[in-house]
Order: sequence, then C-alpha cells, then structure tokens
Amino acid sequence: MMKKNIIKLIMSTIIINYSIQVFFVLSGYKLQGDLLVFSADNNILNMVDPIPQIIVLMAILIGLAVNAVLVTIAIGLYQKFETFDITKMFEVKE
Amino acid sequence: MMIIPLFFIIPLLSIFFIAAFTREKSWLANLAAVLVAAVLLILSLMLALFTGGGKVLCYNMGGFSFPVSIMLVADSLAVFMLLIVYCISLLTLIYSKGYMQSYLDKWKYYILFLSMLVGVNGVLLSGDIVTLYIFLEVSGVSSYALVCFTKKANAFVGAFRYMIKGVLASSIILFGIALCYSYLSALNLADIAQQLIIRHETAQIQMREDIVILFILGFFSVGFGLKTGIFPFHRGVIEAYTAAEAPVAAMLSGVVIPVIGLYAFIRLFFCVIGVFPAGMTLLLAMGILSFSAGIIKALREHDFRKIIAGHLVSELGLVVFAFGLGTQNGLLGAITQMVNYIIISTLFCYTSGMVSYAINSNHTGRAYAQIKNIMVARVAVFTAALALCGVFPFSGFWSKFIIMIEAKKVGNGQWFFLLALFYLLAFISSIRILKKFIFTGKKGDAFYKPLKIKIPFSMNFPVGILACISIGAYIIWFFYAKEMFFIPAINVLNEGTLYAQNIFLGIK
Amino acid sequence: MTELVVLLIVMIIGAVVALEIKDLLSSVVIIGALGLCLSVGFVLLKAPDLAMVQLVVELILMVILIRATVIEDKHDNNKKRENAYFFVVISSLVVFLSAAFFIIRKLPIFGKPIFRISYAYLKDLNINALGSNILASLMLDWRVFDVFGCMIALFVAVICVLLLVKGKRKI
Repeated sequence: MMKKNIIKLIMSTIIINYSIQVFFVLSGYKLQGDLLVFSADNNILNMVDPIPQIIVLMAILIGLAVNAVLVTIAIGLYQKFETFDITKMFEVKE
Repeated sequence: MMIIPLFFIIPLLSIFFIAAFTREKSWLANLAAVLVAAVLLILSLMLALFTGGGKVLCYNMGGFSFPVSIMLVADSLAVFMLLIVYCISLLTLIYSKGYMQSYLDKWKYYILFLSMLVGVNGVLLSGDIVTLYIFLEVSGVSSYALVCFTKKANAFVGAFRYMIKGVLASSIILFGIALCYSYLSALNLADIAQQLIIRHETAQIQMREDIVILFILGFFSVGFGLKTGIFPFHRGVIEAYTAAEAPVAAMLSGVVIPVIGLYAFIRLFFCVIGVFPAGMTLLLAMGILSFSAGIIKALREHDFRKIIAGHLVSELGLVVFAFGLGTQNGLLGAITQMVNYIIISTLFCYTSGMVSYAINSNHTGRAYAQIKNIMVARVAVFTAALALCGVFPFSGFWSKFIIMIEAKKVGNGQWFFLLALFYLLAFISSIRILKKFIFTGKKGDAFYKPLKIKIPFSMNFPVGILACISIGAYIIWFFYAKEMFFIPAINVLNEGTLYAQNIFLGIK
Repeated sequence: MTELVVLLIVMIIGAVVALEIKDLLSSVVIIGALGLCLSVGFVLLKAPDLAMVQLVVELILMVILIRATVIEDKHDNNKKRENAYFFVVISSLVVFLSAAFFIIRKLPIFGKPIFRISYAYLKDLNINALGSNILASLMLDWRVFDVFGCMIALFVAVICVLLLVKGKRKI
C-alpha cells in the first residue's frame, strides 16, 4: 500500500483478498472430512463445512467485479495523465 | 408480508426496462426512475404503518425456518432510514433531470443510480450478516462507478482513491465476518446475538474480557470507519465528495454513507454485539476527533467544495459522538443530528451543482462567488450554514441542543467542554461561509457577472423543498414526528440485544 | 497437511516478490501464479468448486491487468510515499500479528469446526431433488439471495466498464 504505482496498489488489494479467502476456507476445514458430493462412501455428517466455501465463492466473484472496475479506472487514468504514478496525479485545474 | 421483496423487485424490473428501451429517450429513463422512487416511498410509508409501535416484520426466504434461513427484517430503525433514503432519492432524481442535460449516456446513470438503491435496500432490510456484506458491496460498486461518471481527470483520481480505501474496508469487514463465523457458527444477526449471550453465560465472562469479540469489533469499526469517513480515515471520503458531480455527491453523502457506514455499524454494535462501556468510549473518541478534524480542515480551505467536505465529515462525527453517549436522549439526539446532516449535505451538494451548471465548466475555486448571483443557491447556502451551527428555527438546533445536554451527563464533563469548544469553531466557520459566499462585498467581485444560463425549474424545486423542510419541519418534529418515527427507531437501539427476542416475536 | 503449509509459504514469498519487483509485467505474471497456487490450495482444502471459480476469475483478471500494463512499459521508481502510510502499514502489521496470537487460541481448533447451521441444513437434505453436487445445490437453494446480490454486483461492474470504455462525455 505504500507504493506509488497504481497497478501495484491494485495488486496489493488482490493479494489481501486472496489471504482473507484462504483464511476463511481454512476455518471451515474438517480433518479427514469428505468432499461435498453425494456418493456411496461420503457420509453427510462428516463433510467439510460448506458455508465458508459459499461465502468465499461470493467474495471471489465480488472481488472480480471490483478489480475489473479498478483496472478500468487505472487505464482511464493513464490516458489522462500519461503515467501510472499516483503522486503525480493532482487535481487538474481546467 | 409480501411488501419486503417488492423493494428489490421493483428497482430491478425498472433497471431492465431502462436498459432495454430507453437508450435514445432519456426523459423516459428519468420518468421511470422517478416513478420507482415515488412508489418505493409509498411502500416504505406502508411499512411504517405496519411496524408502528415496535413490531418487527420478517420475511423468510425459501421456506426454511429460523436459524437456517435468510431473513429480511424490517423494524422501526430500518423503516425510518428507508423513508429518509427514498425522500432524498426522489429529490435527487428530480434534480438530476435538469442537471444531466448535457451528458450523453444518461441511461447508464439511471441504471447505476437504481442499483445503488437496490444495494442500500439490501443493507437496510437484511437480517443476515452475509446478505449485509453482499449488498454493501453492491452499493459500493455502484457508488464507485457513479463517482467517476463524468470521465474527467479529477473524477478518475477521486474515484480511484475512494475506491482503494473502500476495497480495503470491505476486505477488513469480510475478515471480521470470517472470525465471527468461526467463533460462533451463526450467520443470522439475531442468531449471532443469541449465540454470543449463550457463550458468555456458559463461560461466565463479561464482554470486555472476551478478546475475540473485542478484536472483531475492532475490525468492524476500522472497516466501517473507512467506509464512513470517521477521523483517521476521512481522506478517502473527502476525495469522493470533491471528485463527484453534484447529484452523485448528494446521494453519496445523504444516502450511501449513512446507510452502509453508519447504519450497518450501529446495527452490528448495538443490536448484535451489545453495548459495553469501552466500546462507547471508542465511539465518543472517534466522533469528537472527526468533528474537530473536519472543522479544522474546513477553516483552512478556501475552495467551496473542500469546505463542504470538511463540514460533512465533522457533522457525521457528531452523529457518531451522540451514538456513543448511550442514553435515551443521546440516541434521540444522534438520530436527529443524522437527519440534520443529511439535509445539510444535500443542500450543499445541490448548490455546488447549480454553480457548475451555470458556469458549464469544471470547478475552480473563485467561481463559487457565482453563488451570489443565483437567488435560490443563496437561500440554500444560507439555510445550510445556519443549520450547521444550530441557530434556532433551522434544523440543527434541536439536535445540537440535545447532544450538548447529554454530553454533560456522561463522564466528568470533559466531553462537554470539548464539545462547547468545537461548537464555537463550527459557528465561526459557518459565519465565514456566509461572508464569503453570500453577502456581497462593497466593491463588486471580479466574477460577479450577470448569469447567461437560466437554472431549470427541476433543479430549483428540490432545493426549495429541502430548505423549507430545514426551516419549518422542525416544528413538525417537535410536536408530531418525534413520537411517530424517531422514538420507535431509538427503542430498537435501546433494547440492544433484545433484538433477537423481537425477531422471535416477529416470526410467530 | 504439509503440502498446505508449503503452499502457503510459497504464496507469501510470491506476494512479497510481486510487490517489490520493478518490472510491471513480471509482477502481473507472479500474481497469476499466485492465483494458481490459491486454486491448488482450495483443492487441498477439499473445495473443488472454489478452485474452478478461482481459476476462471484469475484468467479474466489477468487478461484485464495485462491489457493495462502493456500500454506502457516503464519501470517503477522505488521511492516510497509519505510517512503516514509507513505508520499505517506497521500498525496494521502489529494489529494482525497480535490478533493472530490472541484469537487463534480461542477459535475452534483447526479441523474441528462448530458445525451448527450446516448440520441443520444438511441432515434434511433431499438427494433426489437437488442433484449430487452439494455446494451447487446449497448455493442455489439456500443462499440464493446472496448469489443474486453477487450477480447484481457483476452486472453493475459490467455497466461501469462499458461506461468508462465507450463514448464521449458531453455533447
């Protein structure tokens, strides 16, 4: 978050999102648990916790939406200012 | 019971309609959006009738029952905020009809506006912490898109800075939700409250000894503080105010930030986690710090937009401070101050929109002297500045008065002295606004030229309505609206974690 | 579980490297590799649906990021921003490490989650009605409203990208 380059800022938010997703799925893991599918040898009550997986799925999708908007704004910023450096982007008095 | 899903169905149907049919005819898009806002305002009035007197309406999705289902919950606080949200959205939509005349692609604007309303509805009506998070993101993404709508360089810069802080805030809130789920294994808000009470009783510990809840509350307050613009995090929100154009800034400060920042955090703090003294002190401290920081920033600036941004941060800080007071009258003062904040912010944003419409260019600092030319804008800024410092018949009076009285009862009086000092500074700052932007100097200013562009009626109309509300309705408040709307809303907060029991009563 | 620990350590090292490298294109590629490691991590944690979704999302994100970085190929100067940000970073590191220290003991042990709500749903599950992938049936039957909210968010993002890419701004 201390970087000047916009793309590195966006990448740092992506990395933060990854770490939180990993943490959340880890918290729902059951040792020797079964996969979440119906089959002959899967016991329903021994399955891995599905709720964190659902929430993380939705967080991944929302992360996609937000990052897409961020990168589009970054491209627009480059077209206006010719640089990716955020300390050079002050308000322009038109 | 079926009213609650209509709050989602109606805006989404109209988004589809606008996207499909009104590419060329933007007056139709505006008409559709205004109709939607009006219909939803009527629906929320009907909801207010149903939940009058403290009843709670619940709607279970998908036919499951209590701890397992996704619930949409409408209680008095949610309905109160819904009413405010729809009043402001209706006025802003009428305003945008006149303001947006020179922009292309207006249908995208109305689609983004309506999806922001869907997101705000979701946050207000959700009974489940994951639904809260998802609709927080929906309204967040819509607001990021709306801030950079004009595609000017300033708009991009402000949008990017606001957005980075917003994304960081959402990640921190998600982390708090992850901790909460893995500690308590409950997702429904009432269920979380109940599980927390059970766990504290069986383990015999108080709230302030429970480290996990303290950390969760810390993460939530950082996350929601970044979204609201409370003291250490006010930079992002100020960037958004200065970069967005007028109707978007009005919606952002009047609808989005009170709901996703203030309402969500207060709901989680008062009704789910439960009130405890250390947390209240945190609210008091953050509130008064942002009150002071906002005013000091406003005193140092000369550009109208930045002065407004500073004042908005400080008024919101006063709301948080009043929520931290915790007594019945303190909460009444907090909600009244929130309404005051919304009125002031929308008036200021409409005014800056009028000026930039008249100049038809970007915002340079000194051109705000044009306010002296536009009669309606002069009235608006006059009303707003006096409402800021709380002079008698204007809206700020009751709220600041109540907060001042309650601040004396809490603590040893140190809050009272700090508050009095900052009230004085706010008074000085609003006199400065009046002098700079309203009263004409003896020799004319360099920019005091007669206006060539006439401000359309649709822009004057909402400003007039808001100014009248600000002046006259406070009498209505005192005699009439207080019992009907404000007090039930506070009772929800006052009962705190009895929220869970109310939900059970509501289901049966 | 050692595979998981190794994977996590590789991801941490990759994250630090991605942010410190001067060349923008290489750091974008490392982010792509990080996403792939995350997918593998999800498979190890018995969440194959998440792995698939993560791969697809990663692909889309990489395409957009590479589109942004091949516009210009300048190198990143290594000067830092103001001191206030340094303070923020250090304090947030302190907060997260202390959170890890205090809280992790109180949370349920790794591998034995409290299983309340999922249990209440899973034991009443009807196999014939919903198909055999439990996660998909959960998403579409129980948490359908949240998925609906996600779709609205994606739709809004698409509108925003359309807004910013096409069209002039004023008449």
